[in-house]
Amino acid sequence: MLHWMLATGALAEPVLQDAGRQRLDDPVVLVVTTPCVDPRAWLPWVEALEGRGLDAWTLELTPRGQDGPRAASEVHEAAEQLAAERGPLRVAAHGYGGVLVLLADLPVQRLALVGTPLGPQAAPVITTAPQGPVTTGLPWAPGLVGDLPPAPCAGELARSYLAWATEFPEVSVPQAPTLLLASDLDVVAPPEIVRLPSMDWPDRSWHRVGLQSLSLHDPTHAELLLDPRVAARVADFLGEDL
Amino acid sequence: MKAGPLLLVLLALVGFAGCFEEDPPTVAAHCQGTEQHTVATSDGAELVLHRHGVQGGVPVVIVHGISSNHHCWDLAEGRSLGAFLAAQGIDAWLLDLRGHGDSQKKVGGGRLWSGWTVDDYGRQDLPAAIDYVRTATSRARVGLVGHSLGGMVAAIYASSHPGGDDSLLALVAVASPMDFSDPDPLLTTSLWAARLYGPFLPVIPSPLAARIQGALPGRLTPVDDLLFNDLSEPMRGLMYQRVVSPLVGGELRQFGQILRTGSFTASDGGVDYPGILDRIKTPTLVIAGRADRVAPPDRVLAYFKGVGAEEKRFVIAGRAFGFAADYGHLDLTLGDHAEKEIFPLIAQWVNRPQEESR
Repeated sequence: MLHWMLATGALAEPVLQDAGRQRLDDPVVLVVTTPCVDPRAWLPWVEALEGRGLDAWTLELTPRGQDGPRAASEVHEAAEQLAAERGPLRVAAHGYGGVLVLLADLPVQRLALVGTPLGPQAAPVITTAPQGPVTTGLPWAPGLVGDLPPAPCAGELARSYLAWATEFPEVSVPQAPTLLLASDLDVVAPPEIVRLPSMDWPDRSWHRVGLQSLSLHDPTHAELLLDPRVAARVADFLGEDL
Repeated sequence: MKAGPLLLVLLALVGFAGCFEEDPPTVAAHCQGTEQHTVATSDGAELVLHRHGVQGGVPVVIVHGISSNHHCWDLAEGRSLGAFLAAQGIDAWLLDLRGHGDSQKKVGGGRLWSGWTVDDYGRQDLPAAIDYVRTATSRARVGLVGHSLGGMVAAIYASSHPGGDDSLLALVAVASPMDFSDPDPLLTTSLWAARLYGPFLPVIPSPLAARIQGALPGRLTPVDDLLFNDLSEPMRGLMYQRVVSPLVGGELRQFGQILRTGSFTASDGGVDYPGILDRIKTPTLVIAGRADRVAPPDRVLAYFKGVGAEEKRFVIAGRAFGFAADYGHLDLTLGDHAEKEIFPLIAQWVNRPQEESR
């Protein structure tokens, strides 16, 4: 397994790594993990992507001293380096990691965003902003996002996540084929702030996951990440043209 | 895990969704003191209004959704918007649209079976009911509250009936979708059911399907999950027994058209109702349920955005928004927390002083 450390001069460094087996001849998928969430939560995605004949790389961002723009620039830099070595990228992200991908304005071949908000919440949500320079886990009340394994992250970045609920940053509109998955019970990115803001995107494939799609369950934000069926859908989409 | 085939059959049976009716006419405590009024429409239907009235209070006309009836808003003690509003000094009038609940007759006799569309609720039934209430109360304007289809036909009335908007002091649309684009598989399955049944059957016996569903354990089928998320067992049974009325072919055909075109259009295609929502200047409250699988918030939001009123508010009833539960489609009218959390929002909206409202 190739470990690739990107030096940024920050307190810590982002970690870009070939997460599964080394598959030099296969198309690369960059999986951008979300700061504040344990990167191991993306293992079902790695497994699904590799199973689909794709070479999955994960990007773990610096845990400290981050805000939205800085985190997005780390994503941009890492993607640029990986693309320089391996060619055009396919990108997958969940939740706020997807916002960072959009802020990074990456030239991508295909993009999959799962539970990623694309606009401010349609009505005021009840949240408590984390205090201090470092926090752990997403800044939502326990029980609302589901059982998502937490990780330490910059308090400023976690506060940015919450600020996006009322004021969403300007992001680029992806020109590449883009898969958007959302669930009615995902408090972070419910369909009204995924489907509606993306209606004018040139090549988007929208799917509501849950009962409306004839499944028996509406997933939470955590379940959208941890459910192997969602991972398989992401992998199928990213490998659809192969 | 896929539940497609099962859902298909159940949806075909149940129809689109909805708040059964016509059990033995026992009068529950919350119904005592109510009056029943009959109103003739200009095209010859006889409608029934159930008044939970307080003489002199702000009059409010309350409308149920598709395949439903007034019990949707008046199921039992503690689950009656009519009784709740009356306790607040509001003059509440619960309407049964034609062919629903107690509105089963034609003027002069004979039974109403079928032969109408969704448009007729907004163009015939609401004008007749609202005019009646205005006359009976000597008030120029009334509040109008609609659940699901009831909110949609309220929009037809307010935006396209001459003088409709001017006759309203407040509008409340609860779980009323206005955006049918990007159809989900459930919607397209419903379209399939509409296409299958619409041309052939004048009436879909949804009360029978509801009684069957009510007799089954809730977890056996996904129908409960589609309709509610916060309804305890005794009320679940009562709901399936009382709150469902037959679905008529004209409604199904129009919904088939709506789902096919992605827009809420008149049955003759002549009016795109969301396109004229901006004519509505009446202060409007739009409420969506976080766990509503029939009219999820992203399909209801277009109502809020489209209305031309300066004073309007959008509420999503869900835990992330400070509510006790993630509300499903029927939870908003008769769920375990509706009386505590939803009814006060409605009362507050319709009971403001009129000079503040318009």
